[in-house]
This record gives sequence, structure tokens and C-alpha cells, in this order.
Amino acid sequence: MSPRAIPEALRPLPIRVRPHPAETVASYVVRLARANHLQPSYLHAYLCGPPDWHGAADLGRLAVLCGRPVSVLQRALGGPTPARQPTPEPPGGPPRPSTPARTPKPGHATGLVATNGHDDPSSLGAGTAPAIPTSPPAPAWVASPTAAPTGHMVDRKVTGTGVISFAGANYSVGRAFISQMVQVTCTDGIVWISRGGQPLRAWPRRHQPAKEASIRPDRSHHLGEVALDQAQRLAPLDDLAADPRVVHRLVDPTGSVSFAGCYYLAGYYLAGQVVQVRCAGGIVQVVHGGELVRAWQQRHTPQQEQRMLRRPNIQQRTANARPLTSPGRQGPDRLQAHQTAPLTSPLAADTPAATLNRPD
Amino acid sequence: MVSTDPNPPGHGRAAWLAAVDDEDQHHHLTTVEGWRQFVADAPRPPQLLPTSQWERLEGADRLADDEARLDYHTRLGVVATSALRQVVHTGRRLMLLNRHAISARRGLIVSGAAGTGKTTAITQLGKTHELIDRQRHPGTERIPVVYVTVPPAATPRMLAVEFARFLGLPITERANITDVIEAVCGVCCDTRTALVLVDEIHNLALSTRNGAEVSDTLKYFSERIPATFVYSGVDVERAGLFAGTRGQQLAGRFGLIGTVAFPYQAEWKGLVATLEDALRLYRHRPGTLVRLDRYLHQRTGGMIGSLSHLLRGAAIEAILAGSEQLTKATLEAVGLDHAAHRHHATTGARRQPAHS
Repeated sequence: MSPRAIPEALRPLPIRVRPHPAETVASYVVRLARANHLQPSYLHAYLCGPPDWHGAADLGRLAVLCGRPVSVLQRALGGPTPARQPTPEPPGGPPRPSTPARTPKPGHATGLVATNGHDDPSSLGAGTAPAIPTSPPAPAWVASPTAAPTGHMVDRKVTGTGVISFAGANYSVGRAFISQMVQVTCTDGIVWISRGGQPLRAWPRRHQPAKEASIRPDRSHHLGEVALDQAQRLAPLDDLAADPRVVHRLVDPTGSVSFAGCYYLAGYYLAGQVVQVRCAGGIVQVVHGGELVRAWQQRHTPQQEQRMLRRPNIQQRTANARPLTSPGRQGPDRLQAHQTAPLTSPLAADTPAATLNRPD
Repeated sequence: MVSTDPNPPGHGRAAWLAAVDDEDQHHHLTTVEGWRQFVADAPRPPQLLPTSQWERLEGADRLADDEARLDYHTRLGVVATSALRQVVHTGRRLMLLNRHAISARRGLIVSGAAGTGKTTAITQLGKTHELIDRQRHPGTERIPVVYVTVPPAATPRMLAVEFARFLGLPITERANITDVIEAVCGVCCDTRTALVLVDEIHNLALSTRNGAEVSDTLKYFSERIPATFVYSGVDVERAGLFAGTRGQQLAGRFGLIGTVAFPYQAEWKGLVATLEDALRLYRHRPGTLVRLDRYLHQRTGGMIGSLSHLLRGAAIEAILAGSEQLTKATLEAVGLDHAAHRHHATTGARRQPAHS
């Protein structure tokens, strides 16, 4: 029988830690763990309890382990927070179906403190009832994306395992956000992860605070990346099918597309795939599968854009990457027919534009 | 043995209820809570009422008085035997010698047959040190003594988990041995652990790979934790604890105190007399057990554990039956462990031809 299945008898930790006034649960758990020479993530998972061992820390278990009544903890740690609300579906599409007996990964699925975002991306599809959280509320900038974050925010790309690296430590975001760009900041000992102003997750800090100073700011902000919701608000995608400014681009191996003489990052995960790009209202939008994946402030000049629109897909001739799904060689007759066919409505064409405009 | 000052019956009932409540908590020596309770536990012998007043007790008052004495006889206190005093004195001396040692701390091994008082001796050593530490550092949450037992077929992780379990560190299946050892050593250093008692060390078989690894783990603990380590086990020198390279290392650093069965000498008689004085029975005639000391020695084989079990069992039986006294017939009615029974049968058979 697994030890996890055995009903455990909670006992106080050997070293007691007094909670600070108005301290967050996550911060207190971290201090409690370090005082007892435990990994904060390990203690947090233990506080979450069975069966999942992740999510929000259970205040009752915390009260037993720290040797203080629940009422004292509620008073000292700011009391319970509102019920956790599930986040909407990620822009990358619906999350993957959840596995029934998923066990939390030791390094990633523990220590979760955020309750504004969902704990597990699979719970979105499963429709599970939101749990009552006991962790602190998210900072104001998470609730209101227009508010400036107090910490140093950087962009990170979610890896193929659903984690991001921040200050030398890995933090899980969820497999539903694989290859997506998220924003990360660390305030008050909590690493907050959001995407387009939407809070996703928060973890107790596992990295050394000194390493935060060595984080180089992501160049995306300097290059003028625009939040997706803002980009959609400024230039809705409703008229995308009829917009003659839309061009198709093959994402190169670096994850970028060339548009009007400038390179715009679409995402590494899109390398070798065809995306739609247009410039509207001074914002360059990268669309894939009908979803806006990245948006950038316009870096090219209007003259460059006009020249490009005269030959909308000429840039593809210089693309050094072939579509991964393209056939090997095509006959000259078929290629010629494709080159001469007018492409008035790019979205109406089922065949990828890159295939149509493949150079010899 | 009858006290002259009357004791309100309600006092005994409250003590009995408190004892029952404590039993519900299932405290063990292998947890810090149970150890602290053991250290703080100083049972006071119940005061006996005047015989005339006791005979007039009825109903709940009589039940409360009986239960209080029953609870008292389940423990009956600890007798400071010569072996116990030697272990305590040697242990305290080693702790003082190791106070400023930075490595190669000396330790102590208590070895002997089952029922000779090894566990009692080392726990009394730990209790003595913890009480002294509490006097020196009142109000602080120190854990000056750690008491663990080596589980059968132990692995290094199992031993590390035993340490963690004593301290109250949460352990789940995902905790690896490195994390557990780090947590244990860190907490022991922070809480100023100065004495580590490892019982049932005979479960450690150095001839096996796991046993050797457990021995190495204990050695590592002794290097990381600035404490004096005291081992206790059944005939460890014959179990091969000092064999091989690891055994030689142990033999070079650990002193050995053997606990043996009491010979039929003056100390045995004194032990019987002390235990008889501790009884709280209304109709027991003092000196009865002292006169039966030879019978008790033959019956128990000189094992203090068996003697304590025999007298406590007989006293409880006397209270339950209402006889309130110990006689040879009462003692005969109490069954003992197999070792004592075998010893009694052997000595009886040996004496039989002499008489015939």
C-alpha cells in the first residue's frame, strides 16, 4: 500500500515559527519550511494534502503543523481569500484532455499558492468545482492588468513540459500553455505568472532572491510586444478574412516571420508553419489557426509596407525554411499554376500559402 | 503501608480518568511528544485510605479508588539498579567529554539479554539529561534527546525516516533520503540535540548490505549531529556488531556496558524489597515478598523485567480479585514470558533430583 493512502496523523513540526502580521500564507509556509530544513515546495504539497497534493494549502493542516489554532492563523495571515475562479481557456486552444490518475511532478506540481488561476489546466475541461482557497489574493496588477506590477516583470516561453525558467528555478505553468509566452514577476516571495494580464499561477519563491537581480529584461518589451487583449481590442480579427492586408508567412526556424522588411517573432513552436500576418492600426498581428498568437508594435515604415503589399507574398521566396508538412518536390506545371492563380482571399484557400508560393 | 491522612476519593478518580485520556493519545517514546510526556511523567503513588474508611467505600468511590491504584500498578516506577546507575553515569560522562569534540565522538553501547533493563537504562539516561537541560534552558523548545529504534530489515531510508518521525518532520513517499537526512540533521542541530538513543541495534546486521548501509548512515548522523550516540541491543557483541571494518570502527569509539540477570545476592533482595515497598495494596503484609525472594529469583531467572511484570501483574490481580495482598499463590497465577518460564522449569528440574 502506498504511504499516501495511509491515513496520516498530522503532528506539529519540531521548530515553531510565529506568523508575521498580515503575512501571506505562502510566505509563512516558506519560512516554516526553511526553519524546519524542508523544501518549501515539499511542505506546501504536504499542506495541500491528499489526494492531489497540490493546489491551495489547507489551513487546518497548516494549523496542526505550526502548532497554532486556525483562528490565530486566519487573523495573522489575513484570513481566507475568495473562492478561486477558473480561468478562461488559453488562446492556444482548448486544453488537452486530462489524464485520470495524474500524479503531481515533484518539482513542479508542488508549492502552488495561486488561487486566482486554476491549479491544473486539465481542470478546465473537466469542469471541476473550484476549491476554497486559503492563499492570499493576487496583487492588484493581476486583477487589473493596467496596474503596474511592483516586481520586475519578464516574459517567458512555456517549454514543452509546461514549465518556465525564472531566476534559475523552474515553475510550472501547465501543459495547456506549452509554447505560449507568459509574463512572470516575483513580489513578496511569490512568483506570479500571467498571460495577457490574466493570472495563471503563483508559486512560493524557490529561487535565490539574489538571482533576480541578474535577470536580463526580456527584449520583447523593448521590441514593442503588445498584449493580446489590447491588440484584439485595437484591431479586431473579425474582418480578417476580408482584409487585403493579410499576408501569409512561413515561420522560420528562429520562430520569426519577415514582414515588410522587418522580422517579427511568432513563436518557436510555430517554426515551419504558416501564419497570417497583417498590420492594422500600427500593430502587427500574427495569427495562427484563426487565433491571435503575437502582436507587435509596427517597426517597419509605411513605404516598406506599401512595397510589400504590391507583391504580398514575395517575402516567402527568401524564406529559408520549407513547410514541415509540405510534399517533397512538386512538378513545374503545378507550381506554375499556383504562382499564376490570384489569391484574393487568403483564408478562403485551403492550401497553405507557402506551398502555393514555393520557389523552385 | 496504610496512610493515616485520608485522601478524597474524587482525586483518585480524576487521576484515573486523566490516565485513560492519556492512553487514548497513544504516545510512544519514538515521537517527541511521547518522549516529552515520558520525561514529564512523574507518577505519584496513590495514598491509601485508612482500612476502615476503605471498607466503607461503595459504588463509584470504590471503583475510583481501585482504578487509581490499578493505573499506578501498571507502571510502578523505576528502580535504580547498579546497571542503570552505571549507564546513566557513563552516559553523562561521555556527554561531557563530547561537549567540545568536533569529530570522533565517543559513544556507548548497552548490550545484554532481553529483559535485563537495557531500554529502561538508556531511557532513564535520556530522561536525566533532558530534565537537566530543561533546568538550564527553561522555556525554550529544545529537543535535547532523540530516541529511535532500528526497524527490522532496516534500510538507510527507514532509519532516516525513524529520526524524522521522532522529530515530527512530515515524510511522504516522494521524500528522498537526502532530503530526510538534511532535515533531520538541520533540526537536530537547531534544537541542540545532545543525546541520541538508538534502541534495538541488534536489528542491524553488518554482514548484509542493508545493515552495512544503515551502519554507515548512523555513522553519518553521528558526524553531522553534535551529540553522543548510545546504542542498545540484545547481545550485540555476539550478533557481529563489532565484526569487520565497520565493527572495528564501532569498537574503537563505543564503550560497552553489559546488562545481565541479577544473581541471587543482596542486590536482588534489595530490589524485591524496593518493589514491595512500592505496592499499594490494603491487606498486603510487608515483608512477604522479601521472604519469597529466592522463589522470585527462580521464577524470573533474575530478570528485572520479568520480576516487574510478575509483581505488577500479581498486584493488579489482587486488586481485581479483592484479596489486596500478594502471596505465593497469587504470584503463581501470573504467567511470565517464555524465557523465565524455561528458566524456572530448568532450575526446578535441576533441584528435583537433589531433593529426591
